[in-house]
Amino acid sequence: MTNNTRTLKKISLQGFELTPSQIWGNVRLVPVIKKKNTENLRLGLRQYEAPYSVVCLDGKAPLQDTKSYYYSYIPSALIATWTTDQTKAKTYGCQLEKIDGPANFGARLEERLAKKEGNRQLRFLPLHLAMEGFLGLHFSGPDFKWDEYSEIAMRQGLVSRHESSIDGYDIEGFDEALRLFEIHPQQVGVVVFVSDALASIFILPNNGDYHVLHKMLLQDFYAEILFHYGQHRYQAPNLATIEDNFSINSHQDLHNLIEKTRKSAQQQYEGLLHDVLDREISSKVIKRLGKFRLQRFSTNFDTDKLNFIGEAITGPTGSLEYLKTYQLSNTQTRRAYILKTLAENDWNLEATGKTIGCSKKDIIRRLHQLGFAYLLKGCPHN
Amino acid sequence: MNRYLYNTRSEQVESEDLILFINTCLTCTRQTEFYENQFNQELSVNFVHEYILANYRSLYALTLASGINDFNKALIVQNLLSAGSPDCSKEKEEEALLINKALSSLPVNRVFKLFKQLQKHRINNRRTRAIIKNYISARENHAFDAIKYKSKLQDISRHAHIDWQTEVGHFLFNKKYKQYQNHLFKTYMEAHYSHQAVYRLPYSIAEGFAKKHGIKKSTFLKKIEPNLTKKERLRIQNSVEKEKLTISLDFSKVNYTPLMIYWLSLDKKQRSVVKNKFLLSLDYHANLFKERLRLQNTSIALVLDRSYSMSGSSEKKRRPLAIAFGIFHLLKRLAKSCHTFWSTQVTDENYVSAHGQSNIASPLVNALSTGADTIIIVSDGFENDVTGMTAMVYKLWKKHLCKENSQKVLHINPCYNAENFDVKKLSDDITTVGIRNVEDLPTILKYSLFADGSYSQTEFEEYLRKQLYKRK
Repeated sequence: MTNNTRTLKKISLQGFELTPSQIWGNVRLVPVIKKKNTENLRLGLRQYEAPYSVVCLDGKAPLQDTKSYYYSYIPSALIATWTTDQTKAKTYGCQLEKIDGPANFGARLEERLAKKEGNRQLRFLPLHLAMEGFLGLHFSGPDFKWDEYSEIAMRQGLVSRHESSIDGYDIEGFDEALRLFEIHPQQVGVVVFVSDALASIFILPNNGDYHVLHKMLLQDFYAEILFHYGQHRYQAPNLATIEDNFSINSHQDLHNLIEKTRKSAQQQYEGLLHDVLDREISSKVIKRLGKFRLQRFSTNFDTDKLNFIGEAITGPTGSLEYLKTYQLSNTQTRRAYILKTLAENDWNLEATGKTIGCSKKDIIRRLHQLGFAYLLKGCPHN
Repeated sequence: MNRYLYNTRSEQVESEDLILFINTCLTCTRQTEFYENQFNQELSVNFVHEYILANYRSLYALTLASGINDFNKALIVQNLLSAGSPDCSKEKEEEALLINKALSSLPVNRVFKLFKQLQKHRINNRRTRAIIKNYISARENHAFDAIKYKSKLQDISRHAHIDWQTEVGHFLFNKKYKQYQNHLFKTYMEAHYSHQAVYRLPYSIAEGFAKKHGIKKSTFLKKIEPNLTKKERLRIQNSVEKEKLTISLDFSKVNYTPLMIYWLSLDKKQRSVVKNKFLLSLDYHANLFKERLRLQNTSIALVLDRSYSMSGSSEKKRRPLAIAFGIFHLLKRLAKSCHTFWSTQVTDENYVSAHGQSNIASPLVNALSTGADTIIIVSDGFENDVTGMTAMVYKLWKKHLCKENSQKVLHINPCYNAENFDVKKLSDDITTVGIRNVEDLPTILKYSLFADGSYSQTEFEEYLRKQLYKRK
């Protein structure tokens, strides 16, 4: 099988069931149910004592030999363990293993975002994998020497690209909603909405893993906009529509009505998710885990639509085993979009302006607004 | 609710207020709930009490006779005393009787705590002092009270101007006095120096001395065992286990609800060790309820919520689930037939735990289809799979499938909802009553007749008065 057929083209929740949501204030949590657990891939959590990390992207520790780094607040890593035969994989944390000594410096040094640890174990930094891909877009900067670009842009490209995010604690009411959430027996994931705007989709291979990783949603990072959504005095409505003119002749009809209501709820949530489920995504395989593939993906940064990045593990049949998405805020999307358009037009400002439908002056103004002023000559920072 | 019973709007409002108040008094203890913190609970319950006291004083007092929980009894007494005595002599007499009855039905530690509260809130009218003096003089063993509740009794004595003519006065206020005749006081003085004397004191006092003398916990527990009360025996089971000791515990002597909470706190292995003993004691407990419940001719279907929220809070750990579990075991033994439907499937009903979502509607339909006479739902009222479905199912069932009121549905809720000053309802049409202990089930079933409108308010008042004078 070639790599091509195994990359994700679209996010599909086939094989999963979205059950009625649990609401706390403006936070809506939709449980994702899978009837049959995956037993030969398990994900566990490794909590770090020193959460600030420097990751050497080309894997060459120590620091001075490395050309590109990724700095971030990384409180924990996910550990994937798998088997290639029919035996069950054991989750990380079940085995006896040496505990890391206390951290003696402020930040940890990591080699690579996804690193194999032995034959059947992989450590990866959740969401950071996707975020690094996002930050690395057109990183080298202009490849033509137009007059407008500063020396820095020509020599070093985008220098150090950065995006800021918030963690789950910053979304008001989110910690309380997670505490009160009642996990279904067969639940493998959750879809998080804040003020009915999608915050994240999080799916795991096994319900046992979900029980352990439920709290991790608080440590994950989210786009800044969700902080503002969290402040809204909004009571998320109960979307399940109950038909009251349903004809009832027996107790079985009542059961049918309940089933129908559950189905209607699922349809409503799929409606809320249509921006994610209908979007085409481009993905790239990062690591092979036996029959499974770890990959990261992003949408095409179309400014009219909601965009997201994320990472996934797919099974041999293309089924989703692990999924974590990060909704990009509008500003983040615009930043990615303008970089992409510039690159498509060989970094020519005039041509870019034509593609977008505005003047060169507007493009310069936009670059200033989006924090890319340092690329241009005459910028106060130069 | 059968609204046709009420002739006027004001009658209806009064009745609803009273139902709300009794529900509060049956459920709330100001403790943290799964969904709410202590502050909200306290604010809410205090408001309800003040509101009812201001508007319906005689009914407020009369509630003391209705079998409400101890926390609310104490709060009612405190509020009545702080409000001064009523003008009408007949009311005055009735209130005094109610207060005295309530105090004698409360455990002594709670009464002393109440008196301490009276001191804290500076409630010190003549009636209050008289009531405190009366209560204290009626106590049998003053020396024992003085040892066990020393600091409280000191404060109370000062507050109510109690003139102790006996050695108790010396014990409480005269540090220099040493020549006690009373053997308890003697032992208490000896315990400051002698290890042997420590084991002749009540457990809670001896514990302090043991710490002072540095006695090893295992030695202390082994030797203090004969002095333990039945409640203490249950409470220290876990620490006893840690010390690898065993302290005999007769399950049939322990109160029913604490026993259920204890059972649910055990892990699977521990449960299998005491399972037979536990099930036998349940038969014994069920027999005690037989006369009061009289369910031999009733078929019952139970819908029991075992969702995660039924695990309660750090203050009332597993109590909501314990109540559902307790009702299940009781009715299984006493009713003509009892079908049980849990919110999520249970493989072994003795090993139930609080997990999963709140799915009430589907088990309710199953329960309705058994054709049982009474359907009892035990749930905290927070439904999420699907929200509002129970109300709809009940409404449709009532409209299309229910035959002439042959089947009754009752919702029993173990959690107080501070936001609406009542227990949370699953549906406006289903009668909802609160509960704190499974032991109150007979009271609650009687009260539910009033709550669903089968009795009018005057009838209910008469019933309460009858309760009051019956026990005289």
